[in-house]
Amino acid sequence: MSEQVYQFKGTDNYVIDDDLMLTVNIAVGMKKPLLVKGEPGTGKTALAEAIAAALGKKLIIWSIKSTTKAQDGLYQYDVVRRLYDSELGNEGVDDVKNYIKLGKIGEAFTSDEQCVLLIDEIDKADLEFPNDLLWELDRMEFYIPETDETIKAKNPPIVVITSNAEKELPDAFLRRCAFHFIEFPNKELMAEIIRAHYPDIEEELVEQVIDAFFHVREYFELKKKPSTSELLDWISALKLSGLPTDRLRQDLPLIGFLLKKDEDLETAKNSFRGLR
Amino acid sequence: MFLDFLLFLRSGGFKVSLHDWLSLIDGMHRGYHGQTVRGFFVLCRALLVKSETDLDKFEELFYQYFKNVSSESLRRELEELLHHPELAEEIFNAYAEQKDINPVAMRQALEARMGATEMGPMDLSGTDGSAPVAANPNGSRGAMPGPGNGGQMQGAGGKSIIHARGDRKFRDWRTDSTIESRQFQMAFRMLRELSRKLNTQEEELDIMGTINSTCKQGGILDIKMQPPRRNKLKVMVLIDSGGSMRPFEQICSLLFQSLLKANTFTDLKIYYFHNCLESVVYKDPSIDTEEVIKTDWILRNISSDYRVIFVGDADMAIHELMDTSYNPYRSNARPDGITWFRRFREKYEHSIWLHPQERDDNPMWMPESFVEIEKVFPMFRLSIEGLKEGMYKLMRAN
Repeated sequence: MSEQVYQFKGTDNYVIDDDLMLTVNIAVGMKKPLLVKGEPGTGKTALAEAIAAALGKKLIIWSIKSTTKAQDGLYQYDVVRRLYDSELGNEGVDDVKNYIKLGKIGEAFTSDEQCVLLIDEIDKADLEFPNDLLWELDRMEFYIPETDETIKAKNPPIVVITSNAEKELPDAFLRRCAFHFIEFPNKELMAEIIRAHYPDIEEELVEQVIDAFFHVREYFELKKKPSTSELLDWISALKLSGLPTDRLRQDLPLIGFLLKKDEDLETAKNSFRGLR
Repeated sequence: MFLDFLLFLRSGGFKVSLHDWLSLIDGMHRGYHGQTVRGFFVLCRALLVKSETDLDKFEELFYQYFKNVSSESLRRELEELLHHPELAEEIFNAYAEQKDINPVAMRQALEARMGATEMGPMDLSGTDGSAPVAANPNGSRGAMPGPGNGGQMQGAGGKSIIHARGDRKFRDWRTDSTIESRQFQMAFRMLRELSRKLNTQEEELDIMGTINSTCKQGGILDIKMQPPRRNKLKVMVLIDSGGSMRPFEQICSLLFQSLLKANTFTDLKIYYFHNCLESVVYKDPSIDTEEVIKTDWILRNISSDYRVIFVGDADMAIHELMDTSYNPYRSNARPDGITWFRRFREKYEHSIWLHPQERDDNPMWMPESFVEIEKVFPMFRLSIEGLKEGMYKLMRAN
């Protein structure tokens, strides 16, 4: 076997469970786009960064918005600019190529080295969006009619796609992907993640924080449960504020960093009232 | 290889396409399963499962199929083969004839791999697991009496992977469970029929048209306008607000909220009825007798291009539904419940019924009225899947 198997093992900043590691390696090895789903804030986007860092490859991020079209990722033909240039008699108007601007996918395809292409939150876009990219991601090439050129990937990128499950993705698209659902970390993994982000944190604080955090997640009836990224923010805030941390679970200082919705903050407040 | 497992998955209602299956075989040839059950599980999951809603089903089926395979029994099986080389020779003879395999080298590879399993959890985490495969790809296929050696999963309290799978962590994601507001809204989004042909004075800039006509005029700006694209669907919802609906109050209010939030319709009308459709419907869920609309008026005045959704448990006394003579307050000239329902069905071609309760496979166990109403309206359960199917039905002529 000439190709490397099991290249990716996580990085110092990104703690990964074995299942995900294996899945990443399967996707990389079989040259399938990796579709990652999971609760918001469980590190879907960070995964792509970690893969890029671990394999020493450039990361190209294409973050999808509700208005993004598949075409935007391939190339754009700036026809208005060309029109103005032609009116003003600027140079280079006769060459269409000057007005073709490659998008993120185009950038990844034309890159001289293999890179990691992150298509972030693909479900934000229109329902038809994934279908429009089928051919391009399958064949790793696309055609620009304006210049009669076919852009073929020199080094097919490692494609990571994240989704928050806001919309269903079409079957034809799913068929081409390897899939992984990032589970919410358990206490041990969470402790490891905290230590990876704050290497000099005291062990006692880690325990306190995790205890309080899982208490909030499990026993409060919340609309939006806090996730890993919110926990990490909360720890930074606690460290910066210098507040005493020995009664975290009872007092829950700076809880605004964990709970973002008004109703949830209200729930938390009410629970205090009940306790006292 | 494992064709039975494929058929088992498919018969269990887990859709695996041939394409997926071939990728799995390809993945195994490349050795990504690392000769462990756990690796095989992850490989299958990565390639065959396409959505978190299927995870639970997959884990359940995987557990069902492989629950009798433990690392202990496999090791015993393999050890027996090692102690009785003649037995092994017999089994693998076919392989040996086909391919030029050196039995001694094979045996060494097998022993090495057995040693690796005995090392415990460590053999799963990365490079080590794949080493024997890379060293002897032929051997890996020769020594395949079962799916490989079962490993221990980290953090699973020493349970083997298969038994840990029995926990079924992903049950919450199944689409046949009931729903949240966001998912409701997503389902209602399916009710969409975009059109520019609406009765509206509004206009928006037609960018492509402007560019085209500007270019045709040699660069002199020529602005084109067009009416906006809007959803032209009109929806009417009739919700049962009777006593038997009390347990489902929460889900109905969720449905109501998301209908309002997802309100991309040209018109949305919501009415309430008490238990069974009568000559009047209510504008308010509290069944306030002041705020009523004649059912007849609706049928006469609301055009037939409305999509109609009934929400209710369809659980009513059969005399309410079928016969008016039992009700002393109503004269016999008035139509009974089922007649009202039929009239709605006749007028509104696109109509469905959503029911919130679990449904029994056996119609004998469902209320009689449920069975009767099902003859009139296509019925769907108020779950993600049911709602989607319902919306799908609403978008198509019946």
